[in-house]
Amino acid sequence: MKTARPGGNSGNLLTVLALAVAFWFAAGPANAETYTLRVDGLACPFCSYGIEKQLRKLAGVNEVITNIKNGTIQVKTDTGNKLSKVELEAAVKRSGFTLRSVN
Amino acid sequence: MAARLRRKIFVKAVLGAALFVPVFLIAGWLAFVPFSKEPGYRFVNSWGTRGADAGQFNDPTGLAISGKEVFVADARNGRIQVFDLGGRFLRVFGGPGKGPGELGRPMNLTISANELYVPEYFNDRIQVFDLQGSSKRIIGRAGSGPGEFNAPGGVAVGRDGTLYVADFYNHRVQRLKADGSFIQQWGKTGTAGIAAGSFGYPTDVALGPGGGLFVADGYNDRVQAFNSNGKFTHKWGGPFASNIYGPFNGWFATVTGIITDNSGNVFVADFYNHRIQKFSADGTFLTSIGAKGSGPGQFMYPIAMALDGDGNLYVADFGNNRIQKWRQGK
Repeated sequence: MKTARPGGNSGNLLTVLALAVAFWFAAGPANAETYTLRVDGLACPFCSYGIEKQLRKLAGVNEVITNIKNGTIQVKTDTGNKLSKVELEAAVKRSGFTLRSVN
Repeated sequence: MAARLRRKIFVKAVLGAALFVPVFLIAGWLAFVPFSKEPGYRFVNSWGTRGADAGQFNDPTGLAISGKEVFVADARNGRIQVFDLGGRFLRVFGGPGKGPGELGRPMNLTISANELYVPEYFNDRIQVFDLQGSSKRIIGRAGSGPGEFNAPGGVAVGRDGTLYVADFYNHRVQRLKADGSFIQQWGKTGTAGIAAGSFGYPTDVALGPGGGLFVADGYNDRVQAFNSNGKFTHKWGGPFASNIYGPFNGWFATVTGIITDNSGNVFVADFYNHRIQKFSADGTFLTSIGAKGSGPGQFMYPIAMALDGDGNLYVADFGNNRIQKWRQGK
């Protein structure tokens, strides 16, 4: 049995919207990707900045975090953007290095 | 009989090798590992920690001094910080970005005629500031053509305003007019090499008092020198300066910065060996400064240097996010 309420359909719409927004915030931006790259010789900024510069040119990349101590680079993409290993490998190669692994 | 002869030959060979190897090693050591020829430097003080506040650094990559002010390229913070000679914070300018007055990973700094020249690794340009921090002009753009850059690492400026730029990923050094128009280059664009006059990721350049050019030939682990006419004269760094790296006196493990003093001596930031080495202009080893560590007078990847008017040496201690000051003598 349906009970009529002040606001009627617009009230239902607001409820649906509120639920959608709550779900969005709870789940975070869907499909954003984080890749962890391992590359040798990252201590020198002439190297690490070069890799970072090339990775930032890839479509959808919004953040690159270099960890010099453990020799890794985290690449974060915008929602819905994925990167292939081939793309990552090519970017690292353009900076003069060899990609050891991607996770 | 034959077995006895073979054994005799074997014993002689072993004895010969036992004698030859130490003699070879000693001769090699004497030929390729020079001794100090002048008094060393002593640590005076240091300043800075990792962070983004005034007086903190996130990757200090360049240094330059004008009078009583020390300018520091604070790369990841995208800014230039200015201190007095004792390390007291004075002012800051810049900020991360691509626009005029903004900075994309500033590297080895140079001051000439009261102007600060900032090579920007991310923005592929040289930005010139007045010493108060106002952007005055921008030289170059991204590319591999004449007057273009692919990650410039260092710049030197002649008395007439001529620019010399270490163009890192283009494997060349460019000589440009003050307005940025191309004059000449050393090295083959985009091709690394170890022959004299070729480069493997050059990181910085410096001019001697007589107009000679010294190039920090970064990943070739050596220094190359050219006379004021641009002709190659000599090179040094390990055996035959041929991209053999090592921890000994006069050897390098990635050269990231180079400066000269008024006498023509050359200071080299020896990044992976955690030290600064000092040479005369002809490449004769004079002394070594610092050792690996995080204590006073120790370095973690020293990357750049500057000298004040009294000959004190300032070092950007990259891994420790601080600047160190050193004085010559015991």
